[in-house]
Amino acid sequence: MATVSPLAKYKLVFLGDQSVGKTSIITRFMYDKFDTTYQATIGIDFLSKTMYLEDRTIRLQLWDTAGQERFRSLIPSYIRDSSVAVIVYDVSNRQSFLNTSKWIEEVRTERGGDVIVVLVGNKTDLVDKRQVSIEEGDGKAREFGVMFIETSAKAGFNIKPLFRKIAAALPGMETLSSTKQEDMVDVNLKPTVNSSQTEQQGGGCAC
Amino acid sequence: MLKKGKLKLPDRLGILVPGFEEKEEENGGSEPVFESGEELEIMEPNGVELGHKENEYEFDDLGVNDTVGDKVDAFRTRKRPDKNRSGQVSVMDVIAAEEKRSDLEHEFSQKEINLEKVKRIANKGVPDGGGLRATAWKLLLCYLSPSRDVWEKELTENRQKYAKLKEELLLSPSAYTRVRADAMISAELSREGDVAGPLKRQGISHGDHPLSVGQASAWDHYFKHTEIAEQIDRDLQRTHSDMKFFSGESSFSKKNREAMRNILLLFAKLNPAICYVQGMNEVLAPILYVFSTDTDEQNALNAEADSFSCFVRLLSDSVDHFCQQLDNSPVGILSTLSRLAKLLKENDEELWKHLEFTTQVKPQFYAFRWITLLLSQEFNFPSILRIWDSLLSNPFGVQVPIIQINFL
Repeated sequence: MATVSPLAKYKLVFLGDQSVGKTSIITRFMYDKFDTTYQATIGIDFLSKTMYLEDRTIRLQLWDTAGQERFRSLIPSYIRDSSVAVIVYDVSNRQSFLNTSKWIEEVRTERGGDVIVVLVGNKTDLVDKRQVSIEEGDGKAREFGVMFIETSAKAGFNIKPLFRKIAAALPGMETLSSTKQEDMVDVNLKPTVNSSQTEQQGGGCAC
Repeated sequence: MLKKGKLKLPDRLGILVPGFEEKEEENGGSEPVFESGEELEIMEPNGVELGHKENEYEFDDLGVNDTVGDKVDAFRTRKRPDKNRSGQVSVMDVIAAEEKRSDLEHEFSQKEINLEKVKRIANKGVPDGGGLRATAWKLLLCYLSPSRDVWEKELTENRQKYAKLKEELLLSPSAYTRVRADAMISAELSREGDVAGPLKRQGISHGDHPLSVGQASAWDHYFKHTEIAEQIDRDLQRTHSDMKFFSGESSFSKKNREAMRNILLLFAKLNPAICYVQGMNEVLAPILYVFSTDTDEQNALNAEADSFSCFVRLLSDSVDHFCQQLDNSPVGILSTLSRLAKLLKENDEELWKHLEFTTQVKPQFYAFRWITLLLSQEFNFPSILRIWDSLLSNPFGVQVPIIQINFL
């Protein structure tokens, strides 16, 4: 085994309205923690993480963006370079869900079909405040032909599955994704999702 | 202002600010030799702990080495650096702080204040407590004139102006109409002595009701501002959320958030081309904090009005950076960032090459926030106040030292 190949690197850009939880999702993935004291992201921030998958190791470069319109003039260049666009909305904020169409279109304009797009409905822990159902989220994802998952960065729910899903869809991962498809914990469409906000115990992935 | 070719690495932040090297000599006799970065004040010699009442911070020292570490850490995790390190207090620090305190107090008691002298002292850090910093910042931002005699008159006028602006621009159209109507009615009452006949109805113009979609409708404007208010509120929820002054459900922190909301909304209304940009909350926070914790009761009570004027003054130097339309103009953020890159190339070509070519990390990826927010998201709160003492006392405005400090 031990064939030394250069680490495959992929850029992921996180987009979505102000305060939907982009930074929180990244921080949960990076450090497995959640904090209410995050400040608003100003401009752009980036972090990288190595993901150890069963048969290969990849390096993810995560680009965290500010939600506000004003900062978008700085965004196109890094949408252009990204393999993956993660578009986040807050399930307790309908407007942020409606605005994801704009974000998806912007990514499509910039990259055409040459990019993986994931729609993420975050903050599922806010059960009483939910304004967007999982069916609506799924419907929109189908309409645009993008992937979909619901998460709670606060509860640590579905964060690892989100990144495993992304990793499996990355170019050069086709064989892996087809063989692993049935192993994937496809939690996103289970109707019980609201009542199971418990911490996800990591599956087979060592990330 | 940087010497070309070779950057002198400062051991204290104060030295970064150009034009004040002479201060070294002037104070040389009394200035103890510190370990690098031990410049910040760390205790209140008079036992005045006003700033601490509502604040769990220890005002610890800001070691340059530490802050570089903090900066890296903050960058990585987007969290505020640890502020629980207990600072070591040396006798020399106490003496130096005490001297600065009495120097400033003396200067502030003069009929005509020597602004240059205030700048020289403030550049090295204003001692905490006693409202010295509030007065210093107001002077440095030219909100207070150097003539002490006119302070009261000017402050009163400015505060009245602010109250009027608030009334005109922040009340909903119906509330505003009501306030005006009340004023008119009470004026009429005082004229007629008693109510004769039915109350007069307010005239409402045809297009001016909440369901009107006309662009000119006062309500249309009002709803736009509700949207901005929501944006502001979302950011205020996460402004220094580790400090009791800004965060939590206490009436005290609610009042402070309300003040920040009013100021930011008013700014957005008065500057529609810029409106509210995320991060303005961070720039406003230190000002409101410093003014609200002034020991002078009148000043503390009027912190909102004073903060508004000073916030506007502070932004006047860098407001173009917040304006998207100016991004590609010579005064926009991109041009400032390329100035920074140029300075970096002149001072540390190796690092510049590494960033520019090897890693291809553009300045907008690492310095955008530093510059637009005047470093207010990079350090713990006491350190921000200390750094701003120097920024505000810079004779060339806050932007010049910001770009230079970034080389730390």
